Amino acid sequence: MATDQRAVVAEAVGLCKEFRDFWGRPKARAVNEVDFTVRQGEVVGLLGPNGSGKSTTVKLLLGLLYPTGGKVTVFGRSPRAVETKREIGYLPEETSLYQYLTAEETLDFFGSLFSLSPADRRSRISQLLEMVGLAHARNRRVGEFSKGMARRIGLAQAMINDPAFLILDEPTSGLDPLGCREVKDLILTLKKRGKTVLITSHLLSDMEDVCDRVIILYGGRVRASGNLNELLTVGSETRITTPALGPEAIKRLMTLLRGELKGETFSVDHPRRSLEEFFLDVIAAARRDSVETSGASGDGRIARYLSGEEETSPDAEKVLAALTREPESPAESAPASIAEDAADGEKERQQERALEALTSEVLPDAPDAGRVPEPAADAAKEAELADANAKLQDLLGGADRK
Amino acid sequence: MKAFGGIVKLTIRHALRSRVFLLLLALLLLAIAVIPGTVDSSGAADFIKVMLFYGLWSVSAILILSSVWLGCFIMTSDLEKNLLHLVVVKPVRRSVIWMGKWTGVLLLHLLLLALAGGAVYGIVRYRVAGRDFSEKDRAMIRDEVLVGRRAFLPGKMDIDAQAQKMMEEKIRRLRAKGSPVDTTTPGALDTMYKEIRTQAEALAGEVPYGARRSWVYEGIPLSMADRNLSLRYRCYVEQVSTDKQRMTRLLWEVGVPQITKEASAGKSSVFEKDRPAYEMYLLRLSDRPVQLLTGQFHELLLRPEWKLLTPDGKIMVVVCNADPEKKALYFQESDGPKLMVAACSFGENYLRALLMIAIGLLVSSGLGCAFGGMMSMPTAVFVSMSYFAAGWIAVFMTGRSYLSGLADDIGLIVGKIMLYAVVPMSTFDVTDFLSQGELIEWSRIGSTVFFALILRALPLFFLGIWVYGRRELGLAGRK
Repeated sequence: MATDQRAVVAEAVGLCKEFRDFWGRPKARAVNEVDFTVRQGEVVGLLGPNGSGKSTTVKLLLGLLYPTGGKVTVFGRSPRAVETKREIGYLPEETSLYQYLTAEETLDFFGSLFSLSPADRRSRISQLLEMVGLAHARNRRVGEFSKGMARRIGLAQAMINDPAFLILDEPTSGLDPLGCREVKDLILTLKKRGKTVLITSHLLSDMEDVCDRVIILYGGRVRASGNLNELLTVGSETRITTPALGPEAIKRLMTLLRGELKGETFSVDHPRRSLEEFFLDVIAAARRDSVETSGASGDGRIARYLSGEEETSPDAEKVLAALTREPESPAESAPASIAEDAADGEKERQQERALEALTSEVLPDAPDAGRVPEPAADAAKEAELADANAKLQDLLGGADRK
Repeated sequence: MKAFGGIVKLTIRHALRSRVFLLLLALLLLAIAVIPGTVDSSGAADFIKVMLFYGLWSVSAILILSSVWLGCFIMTSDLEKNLLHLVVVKPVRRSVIWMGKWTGVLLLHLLLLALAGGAVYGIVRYRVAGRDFSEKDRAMIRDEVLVGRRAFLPGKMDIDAQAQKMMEEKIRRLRAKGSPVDTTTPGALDTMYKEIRTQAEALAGEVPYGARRSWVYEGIPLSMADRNLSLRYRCYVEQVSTDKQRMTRLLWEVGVPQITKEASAGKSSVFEKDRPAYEMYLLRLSDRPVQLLTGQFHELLLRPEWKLLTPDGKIMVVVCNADPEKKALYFQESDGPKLMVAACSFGENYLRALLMIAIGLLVSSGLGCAFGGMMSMPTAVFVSMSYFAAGWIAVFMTGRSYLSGLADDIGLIVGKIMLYAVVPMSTFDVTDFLSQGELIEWSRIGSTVFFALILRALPLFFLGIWVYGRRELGLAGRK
């Protein structure tokens, strides 16, 4: 297996943290001989039940707690070094903000801690407030905010410095599904820009959506770690996803599978959309109808300086957009409403015919041939994107956009 | 610098928006308006003195206490609400955070001091200019209160030497009579000495009926020979107590030097032998004894044309007791009498007083921040208050004029050691000087800055910053 050549952003070696009482007697060992490495451009999830040592590990990485054993470094330096902190963005588990400051003043204060110029601060604050959907509440005191709105401001302050290493402690906690989606999109955008992200969360589905790698802690020790694909792929089973099949096609398919599986149990049913997907569709429809809301109302756009747009010209944007546009899939081109889907009988018949053709030609020889996306198409798209990126890097020094 | 400015601005916003500032301002204005009215005063000058003293004293007391509290609160609340976690993970040194918060608290209190100090000054000027006072009253207020006068104190009498002398005399007398004198029982001689010393103290300030008592003031610059001098004094009749005081009579005399030998021409007068020799003659200031109320301060004007200053910078005054009921008069050492000469305007003296309070605020807010950065909230305030109490106790323990026994000796040593470490808040209290029209000397301000701020408070501030910089903040905010 090839060694990962990417630069090490954070590293813990034999990391221990023991809490002691007033008299110095040991009370609890929250982190015990933990080893891990976070490399540049990775999105790493730190998982574990309550009391497993996640938050303690994060605080050790931030220099808020000091190790009682082992070593922790961030960018090769002590986490307490001022230079290290210049590159870090941090969203704590509980968003505690200065209640008497407005949203704008809050971001301005945190921007001043990074010695950003007033002009830079103003520009970034506007973009961040737009991004987190609080532009309309910029002059409202944070103390009046709902938990979700406070969470959004917390997220905005974590990114005021365009950090190279973002540490997010339960980033989607308190956010509505729309906010969760936006946070996940943001993380993926940052990843594309080569940023490193460390996330702790109890919401495993969120972690699954964005993380490249996870570290699972229990009792202060690392119990499992690795690439998500490697950890989660069940190699002993096969799943085939197709457009909806008619009864005749299913009958033939069942006959085929019974013959192949020789008495082993299997199931065939309709796949379900996730509730998150359904919710997002409903909200998108409401937005199209211009329904007003007093809460956060972001348009899902990432701040320009975070997505690298600030460094690109309008012409270059068009080129980049054309190069990075995903080919329209049947799912994307489908109407947003489930009701509309159900009413589309003609489409269903077309799908049935397609499945029939597929099952008669592909299934007997190549059971995995229907998986989406196709590896070959993926590789081609990646190559195209990499080529475009390289050209743009030369031209603008910018990054690709989502 | 941007980070420092951001933290200062945040601290000030916190105080302004949490209404601490408005609350304090209201409290200060209330204290200025109400407290002086609750204190009795006799006479026009006394009324203005009371207004100045209690007005400015209450301002400084409220501000010093609030600066300690706010210092503690600002440092601990951020930590306890986990707000500091978001700040310390940013690229800003903890010492900068500490300094920023301290500066914010200090600036806020300086602004309050300027507003409240301005209010006291304005009220005093308004009342003096009002129609409540006669022209004579105004002149008295102008000469005795609204002025900055340099004070000279008479040479102190050595009470212990006097008491020792009296004790030896008593033992000799007892032995001459054949009475036994217990010199073997532990504490017997000490008890006798204590009684005699108390008598000596009383005698030092006592002026029996018909007797004279003189005071000599030394070290007066010869440049002051052409200025009006005031002798400020207070005496008691029969007993040293504010109760049962009444009208009495006394006669003042001053020493007028008569030169008997001129100095050698062309020689410096630095050497004693080269100075002109003189003899002192006493000059009565009035033909008859003057009548006055005891228990209150009075002033006696000494004119430059009387040429009272000796070539070696001395002035002598003598008082003669002419009490109509033939009782003794008493002068306390703390009351002087003081010889005073105008040195600056009231406005300048007032600004010096505000400067002293500002130095006090600098120290008290720093102490609040230092303890607040080391501890959690109620503990930090409790320790700060204990610090003030320790300062007060140390001043009391070292200020005793007489020590009786081992406990007092130990107390003196402990008090002196404590004064090496703590700054008594009384150091910054100059309201008494201001209200008496006494100059707040630059030397006093300088010595306060050096001994109180630099030598005592700053090391504690550095300790506070050091602990704050090394504190495991994630631990403090743990739930």
